[in-house]
Order: sequence, then C-alpha cells, then structure tokens
Amino acid sequence: MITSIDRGRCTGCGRCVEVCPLDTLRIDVCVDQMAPCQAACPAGVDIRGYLHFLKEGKLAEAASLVRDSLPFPAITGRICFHPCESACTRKAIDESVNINGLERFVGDLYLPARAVPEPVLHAAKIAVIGSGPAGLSAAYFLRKMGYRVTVFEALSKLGGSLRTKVPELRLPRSIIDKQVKYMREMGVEFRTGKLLGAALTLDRAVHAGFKILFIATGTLPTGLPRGVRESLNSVDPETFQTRIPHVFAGGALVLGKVPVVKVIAAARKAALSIARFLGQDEERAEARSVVKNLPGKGIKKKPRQKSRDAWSNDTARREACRCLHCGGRAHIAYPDDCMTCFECELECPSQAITVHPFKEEFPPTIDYSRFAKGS
Amino acid sequence: MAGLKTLGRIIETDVLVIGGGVAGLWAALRARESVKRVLIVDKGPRDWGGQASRSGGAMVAAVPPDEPEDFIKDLVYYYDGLCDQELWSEIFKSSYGRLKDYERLGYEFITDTNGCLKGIPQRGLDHVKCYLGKPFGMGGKNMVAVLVKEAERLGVGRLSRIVVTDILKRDGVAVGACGFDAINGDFHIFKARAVILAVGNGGWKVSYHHNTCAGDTAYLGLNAGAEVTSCEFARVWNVPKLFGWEGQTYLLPLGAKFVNALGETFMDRYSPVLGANTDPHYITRAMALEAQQGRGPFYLDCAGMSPENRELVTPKGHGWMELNYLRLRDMGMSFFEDKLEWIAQMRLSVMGIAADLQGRTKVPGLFVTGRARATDPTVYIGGLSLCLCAVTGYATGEAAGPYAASQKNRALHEGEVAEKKRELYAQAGERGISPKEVLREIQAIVFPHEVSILKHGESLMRASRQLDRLEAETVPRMVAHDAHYLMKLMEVRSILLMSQLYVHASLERTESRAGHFRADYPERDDKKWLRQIFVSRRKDSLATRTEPLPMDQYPIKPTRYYSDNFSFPKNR
Repeated sequence: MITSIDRGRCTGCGRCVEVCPLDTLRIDVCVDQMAPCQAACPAGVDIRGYLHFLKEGKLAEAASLVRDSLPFPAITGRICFHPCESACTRKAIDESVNINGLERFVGDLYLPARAVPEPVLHAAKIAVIGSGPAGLSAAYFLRKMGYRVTVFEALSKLGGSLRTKVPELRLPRSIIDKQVKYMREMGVEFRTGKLLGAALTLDRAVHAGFKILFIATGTLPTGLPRGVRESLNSVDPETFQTRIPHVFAGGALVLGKVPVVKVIAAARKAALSIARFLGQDEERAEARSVVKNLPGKGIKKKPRQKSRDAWSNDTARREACRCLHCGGRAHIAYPDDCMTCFECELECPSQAITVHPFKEEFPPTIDYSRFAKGS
Repeated sequence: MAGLKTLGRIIETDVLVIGGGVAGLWAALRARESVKRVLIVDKGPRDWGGQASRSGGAMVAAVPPDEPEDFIKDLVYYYDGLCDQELWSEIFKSSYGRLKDYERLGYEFITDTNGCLKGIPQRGLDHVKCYLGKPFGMGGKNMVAVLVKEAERLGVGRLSRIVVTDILKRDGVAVGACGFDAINGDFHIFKARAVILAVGNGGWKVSYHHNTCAGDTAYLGLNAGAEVTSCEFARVWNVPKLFGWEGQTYLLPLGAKFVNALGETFMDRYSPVLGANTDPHYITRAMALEAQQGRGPFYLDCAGMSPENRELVTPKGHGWMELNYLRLRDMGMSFFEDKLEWIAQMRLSVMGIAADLQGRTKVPGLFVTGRARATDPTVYIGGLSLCLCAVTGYATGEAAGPYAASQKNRALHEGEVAEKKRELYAQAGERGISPKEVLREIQAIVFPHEVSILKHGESLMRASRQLDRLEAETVPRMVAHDAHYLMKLMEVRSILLMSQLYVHASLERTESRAGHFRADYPERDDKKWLRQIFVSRRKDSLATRTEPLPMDQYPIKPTRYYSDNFSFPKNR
C-alpha cells in the first residue's frame, strides 16, 4: 500500500494523480507559497488554484476563483500581455501552459451567465467617474465588498479605452457589453452621457449622497475647479487618495500608459484603500514567498493547445492538465483504495512516493484456523 | 433534447466504446474506418490502456506454419471440452493478422537470432504458442502506447475518469449511455448509434496489478437486457501471502516447488504426471484439500533452483517488480532464500456477455468485446487474453462501425435519463455504510474455499442467502461521500451482482470441469454439461437457461481432458 509522500521532495507536478488507476491521490493547491505564474501576475490571480479546478472539471469553482482577482476575464483573456506565461515552469519543459487561453475559456464560458446580485453591506455610496478598465474594475471590487456603486460615463457607451482604443478584432464590442451587463446584474449602476465637471460636479455628487468619488477618466477631465485639478496631480501611489480626502483616483490618470492587468491590480488596491478610509478593516495583501522546489526533472512533454479556435470543455481540461501546480502537494486522499501497483512511485519524477510492498489483507480463501492440524 | 441538457453534459458520437483497454482501443480504431466520431470512455486514467498496461505484452498467435486448428485441439483439451470452437477458430485465424498489425504500428516482438518471431509453448500444450513483446516482461505499456498513438492520429476521442452506470435504450435499441465524472461528479449523457462494451472481466478487487475490474460487465450488460454466461468460472490464483509477484509460470519449471506445512511437494499426490507445473486452479484445489487435512499453510520453496536460474528470474529493470523485489530485500526478506508463504486467492470472474463472433449481443446496437465476453472456463494460458482482445476488438469494431453508420439518430428518453440520474445521486450522503465495508462483507461470503474452490451445494446455498440478505439489508444503507466514493459504491453494487451470478451458476453446474470444481459433484458429466449457462434479467429477478455446445458442428470431438491429469478425492 502507498505509505508516504515526502513533502520536501514532492513538487506537486501531479503525475501520480494522473497515473493512479484507482484514483487514490489528489493535489492540494491551497498552499502558502505562490507559484511563479501568480507572482508574475500583476493582479495576483491564483492561477494554480483555478487551473486545478479546471483540471478537475470544476468550472464554476474555477470561474469564481478567477473573479476574485479579475473583473472581466473574457476581456483580459483576449488582451492581457500574460506575463504569467513567461514565468510558467512548463516553459523549460516544452511550452508554457496557455494560461491566457484558459482565462478566455473561463471568461467566455460564463459570458452568457446571469450574475447573482451582490448584497449591500455598507451605507456608503460611491461614485466612479469613467467606465474604462480602471473605473469598471474599481466598481466591480467595491460592489463585491458590499458598497453601492454608480459609474458615470461621459460617452454614450460604456467601456472607455477598451471601446475606443482596443481594435475590434482583438476585442469584439459585444464582449464588453456582456461583461458590463454582468456587472449591472451584480448591482452596479451606470449613467452614461454624464461629463464630470459639467453635468456632474463634486458638490452635486456629494449632494446626491456619494461619500467617495473615484476618478478614472484616463485623461485629466476639463471643466474641473482648479483645486480639484491640482489634487489629481498628486495622488498617493499606495492609497490612491487625492489631496481631497474623499476623492480617489486611478487608471491611466495616475499610472500613465500601463497594461490593463496593472490597471485592474491598482483598481483593486484603490478599492481596498477606499474601504479602509470608510472604516472597514479590509485585509492587506501579505507578502508571500515564491515556490523554490519547482517541478522540471522527468516531466513528460504534452502539446500546448493553440488559442486560435474556440475551446471545448475537454480541450480546456487537457490544457489545464499541463499545469504542474508548482508548490502544490500530493496527498493520499483515498488510502484504502490503493492496490499496491507501484505506478505512482514508478512515475513520480521526484522520488517522493514510497509504496510498501505489503498488500491489503482480504478475508481468507483458505482459512487454516478452521482445520485441525494433521500429519 | 432541451430538457435533457438540464440533466447533464450531453456528448454525441457515432460509436461509444466503454472501456479503454486494448480491446476497446482496437474496436475504436476499426470502427473509425466507417464513422467519423468514435469516443472511448474509461473510469481510469487517460490512455492508460486497462489491464494490458501491466501485462508483459505477450500475445498468443497462430503464426504460419502453425495451424489454427491445432491450437483449437489444445484448447478443447485444456478447457475439458468446454470450448467455443467456432469463436476460437475465428480468433486464431485472425491472430497472425493482428500480430502483424501490432508490428506495423510499431510494437516489437522478440525474435530469434535469425530475426524470426520466437514462439514460447504454453503450459505444456502441444501447439499453442505465445510471442513475447519488448522489453521482456514489460511490453504491455508499449502495446497500449502504439494503439493510443494510432487513436490520436485517427481522431478517436478519449475521456478518462468517467464511470458509466447505465446503457440507454430506445425502442429496445442501445442508443447511448449515462454516467458521471469520478473527479467532480458531473452527470454525463452519451448519445450514440452503437455502443461497445469493453470493460473487461469481473473482479473482487484484490491487490494485484491495476486491479480496477469490478462487476461492470455483468451490471451494464444484464441491466441493458443482454445475457451473461460463464458466471460459474472464477479465477483462483496462487499468490504470495504478503506481497505481489508476477511470473510463477517461470518459477515452477526452473525448480521452485510448492510445499505444504510438512515440506511435502503436495502436488505430486494429486498429479504425478504434471506435479506443480500446472494451471493454478488445480494447485489451489490441492491446497484446499491439503488444508482440510491440516497440512497448511503452503510455501514456495526455491531451494532447488540453481543460482543461474535464480539470476534469470530476479526482477531487473522490470518496473514495479524490481522495486517490489528490492524493497522486500531491504526489509530483510529474500524471495529465493526464505521459504515464503503463498496462499490461494479468489481474484476475478471470467463471466462475460454472450455475443456472436463480431460481438453482437441480444440487444441491437449493443456490442461486446475482449474480456467482457465469456471465452473460457478460467484455466489460464499466458498471452491468450491479449490475442483475444486484439482479435475480437478488431472484429467488433468492424461490425459496430458500419452498423452505426446505418442507424438513424434516435432521441434519448428524457424521463428515463432523469430517473437514472435521480437514482444515482440518491446514493450520495454523509452518514451511512462505506462501500469498502460492504465489499469486505461480499468477499467474506464468496472467498471461503467451499464457495470458491471446493464448491459445495450447501455452502453455495448459504452464500446465496447471505448475499441476498446483504443486498436487502445493507446495500441500501451504503452511501458515497463524494464522486470518488460514488464510483466505489457503484463498483460494489456491481460486484454484489456478479457474486450472486457466480454463486447461482456454480450451484447450477452439477459437475466438475476445468476451473469449476464441485466437491459434491466431483466428476465431469459430458452427457449433461457440455453446455453453457446463460443468465438474463427479468424485472427484479434473474432467469437462467442452459444451451448445449453444438458439438456435432465442431470439428474437434473431445477425447483427452486436462483434468484427467489429476486425481482429487471423490468422496461426496
């Protein structure tokens, strides 16, 4: 029977889970150390975690984990520059896991889904100015935290730079519409054709009951009072607070021209900062170390699925099966189903598994105790 | 179909193959020549290849100038006349073709210095020869690999860790199957124009290799309306008591001996002609008789093996066997120096679904192939299964492909699928009896020697009652905590059914022949029992009928019987 898995040696590559004919093993991916992909992702997506859900065919769980850090995976799954893939351990073996493709798969899969309205947990209402990636992201995270959020957009259509700057070929506009619809169903309100400074002034916003303004207009809006304009010139890079205490800002306005995933990460940080400003004890991101004992030795090659075509569930599952869950740990989930075939030990590339040669004991076929000793 | 979608994931295919062992793979490859969509589903890992993956990769074949008819002579003798000569004749006739196919696909057989295939005679039989694959003793994985590669090339779909629980029918015709994903529990509905059962033999899940076989064959086949046969034949094997060992076939001719507690080479008592170099069913029969006389337990004594012969059979580079050997050595056990205890172990059932030569069952659209068919009275010939699986797999695919192509699309019965799904998931729960405990109960009923080796009417009747009681009182209280345990639970259900079939058919066959021995009917009864027992399901009960082998149509009339080499006490 399989007796032990050496935690020091196990790299979490998952080979044992893959080969066990009796399905006795599982990988634990909820571990403290970050996988290299997560460390490389500006938004800190738990890629190892959601790919593992995909591997097990647990699509809803995968989508939910992605949505913890990414507001619109169907969009980022198309336009992200995916630094995660450059850090992927698999790269040294054959090719990196197609993480971007999997993100798009998860995003597209739930594109037609209706969101469950998020409960309102706080009294404060927040106005987000601008519906580009920063505004949408901030609205998304704040709404998930339980704040009521209204997004004001100067143009008639939502999406900001996603709509005005990204080529339609890379990002069909219908996808933006669907992701916005999802946020609307979550409970985010949207007002279009509302230009900050003209139709909407800071004072009027406060009068309308908004405790916080998050400005994410991309470029500096015209028609603002001078004090406000100046306050936007010196935004705290950690808290995203302007010099006017209840006004926060994010996106290109603060960060300059950066990739969307960085805008999302900053918007999340700003949302947490706003929550703290409002007296909520939102936890701060802890510094986590990155896995050192990486899989690599003895890993078999598997072809990477190309992003070109729409993926079926099985294609996605196969691609997710290429993930080596760096830092994960194999454990014997169903020890009494082991049949002592040694396959896991033979296939383990890190010599982490020990199978004891003694097999399970069964009810006897010939029970000697039933017979008198003879000669 | 609209409502069906809400029940689970629907997958459509032309030919659905249940079981991805070599028989299933062969069937899929051949069927693919007639239809576009072929899908293999397996409850095990992706592309693992079933039991063949652990085999030595040796295959019996009638390689010219060997004649298939001569092979049949051997089988008729070895099987005590209970041999489907028509089926085996077809199998041996096609065996060389499949062997060549394996070579064409890149699988290598061991050849002699002249580059000729090297046939190894089997079990002291006159004609049957087995061809060893490369590398020696471990060819099975390569055999699987060449078939998988071909399946990939032809675009044969493969889904792993899917447990099929029911064959779906419409108007009496098999039109698909349903089951669930053993990892996440998702319900799956397969829509197909032909369904091929390739789930292997039955088994009681004792530690030996990749012993995944449960009673899936009997469970799926009977519930679908097919007949099962050969239920009374089960494989009882000699195994080391504590660990696994492959290759007693090689040990015995090289000087190893089975001895009883008194150190006697007890097989001499029962077969002066063959001694211990015989089929394990006869050795375990002798073990049970010896034990009754108080002369158990038993040991494998390798003292008589020469150092050269020990060296020859010491596992080297044999994957798990080497690992096993070295670990035992590290624990202070020496396989060759120590007298290690060996036991008789009830292992598997050779029952299978009745079918014609191409694998057509009684149910239109449902085919069966490989070891899911019944082909032998359990006495064993090395390499015969791989021959059977390749040949029948190919033949079944050849029939099922065109059949599927000729079928129109039949809608599934939504209400029926919904009911099956409800029944399946009703077994999920937190508190209840674990499947493993129920399996233990079944093993404790079926394994004792008076049910498994020296079968006796009274013991079989008792076992039958015990199994029925288990079914009524305990099985309904069995629960599965998660998808993995739901798989185990379904296996236990199927093993229970298989055990009932085993006991009933064993009671029915009131004689002794090949692997079946009735202590109360120790004689062979050729007049009455050159026939097969068939079982089918009638609502909630099982119906049995027997059918004689068409001996007048068979070319070979039995004149010699393997069991005549033995003399077991005939006191009833």
